[in-house]
Amino acid sequence: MSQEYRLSLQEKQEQAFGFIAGAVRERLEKGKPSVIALSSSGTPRRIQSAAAVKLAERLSRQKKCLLVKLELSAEGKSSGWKEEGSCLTGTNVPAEQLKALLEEKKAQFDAVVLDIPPVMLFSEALEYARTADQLYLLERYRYTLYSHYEKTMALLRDSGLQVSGVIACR
Amino acid sequence: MFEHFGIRDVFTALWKYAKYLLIILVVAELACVGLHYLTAGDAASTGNVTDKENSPVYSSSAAYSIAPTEDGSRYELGESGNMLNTAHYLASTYKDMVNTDYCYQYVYDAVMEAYTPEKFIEVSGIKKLNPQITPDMLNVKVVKNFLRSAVVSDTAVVNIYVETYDQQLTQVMIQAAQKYFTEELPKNLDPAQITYVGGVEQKVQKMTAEIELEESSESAVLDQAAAESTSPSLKKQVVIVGVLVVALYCVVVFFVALFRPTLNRRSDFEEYGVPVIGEIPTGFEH
Repeated sequence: MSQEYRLSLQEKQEQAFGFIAGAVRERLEKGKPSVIALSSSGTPRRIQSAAAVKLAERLSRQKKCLLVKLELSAEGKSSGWKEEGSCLTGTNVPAEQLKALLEEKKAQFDAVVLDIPPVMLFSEALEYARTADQLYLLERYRYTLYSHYEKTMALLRDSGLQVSGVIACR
Repeated sequence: MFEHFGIRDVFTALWKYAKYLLIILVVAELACVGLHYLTAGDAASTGNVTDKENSPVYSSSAAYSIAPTEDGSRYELGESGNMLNTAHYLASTYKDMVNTDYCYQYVYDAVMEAYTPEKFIEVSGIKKLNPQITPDMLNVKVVKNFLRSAVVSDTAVVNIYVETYDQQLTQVMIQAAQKYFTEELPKNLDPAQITYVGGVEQKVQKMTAEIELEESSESAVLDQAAAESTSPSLKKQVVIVGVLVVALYCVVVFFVALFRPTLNRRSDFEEYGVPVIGEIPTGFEH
């Protein structure tokens, strides 16, 4: 293939996120602010967080978008909300507090992206996922185990939650 | 359990862990080479057969140059039309015949004329190889432990090499082998001009590695022949280690893929009724 038609890795990644953002946007209800949750069945947190940041950045090119990063730790102590640039971070935030935040932010933003921990590992993450209009799973080819994925799907099904789609990392 | 297992998944797993294979292969090959050179020193000084501690080893070698008797060109056409170097071919044939039971029988008969089976076991060092050996277990094959032959690379010189723990036994064996080589073999093989080139007799002490040359040859070719006939091939060892590592890697990865199946492609996710809305190349998290 001629060199001029080859995309660099970065260009391929940009293109991929563009497609994904487009697919997510299509599923959003027009005129209504939406909450999009991104979780996984065991993908490393740094990869999931990076994907959430990129997705929010791509969505914000056409809609006003806010990224909310939610962490859960063994300590259980809530840290409240911390603002880091255009991103809000909360650790061990109760689901009610999240709902209150979302009610407040929906008035200001067209879309809110929630980066939530793996639902398989934390029961609180399921509560976070319930607040979302759409739930996407970020998975990795060759690394995501069938056992983890099936467990995640079973948990979500039993909670009455439906997965809107999977974002796969190659 | 095995419904998610297929040949494509095995290859995916093989590729996934390929970097570990590379690391293990490099480490294994380096270890093989290191061990080879560590043990080569010991083998050179003691011989890989007779390994009594603190006892000297007596070795003797005799080298013969082989040439065709027919005058004219040294080359002739073979059946397939390829050019053959007759002298090299003859040397290789003569060398191979030294490593046969016919030669071993000849040498064994000569040894049994000079030694009783009990005395032979006592002086030769064969007990180190087989501590359970008894006189009635002796046969012609035992000569194989002490007698070797090799063709010096890129020449038509055959080197016959004997090594035992007894000087007289070494002499008996080398003389018998020489007699077989010069008198018996030409009767049964293609006639050749066999010219004695030289010989080396050495007494080597294992722990101190002192080498006393009693009768030396000035030919470096003989030294090379002696080394070739005793040291194991490094290339062969490296290849064997490489093949074993790769085979073991394949077996381990096979079982990993079997018992810990992963989702490897779009269709695996879509089996659960969930669409894959996009695929991102790795590296974006950096």
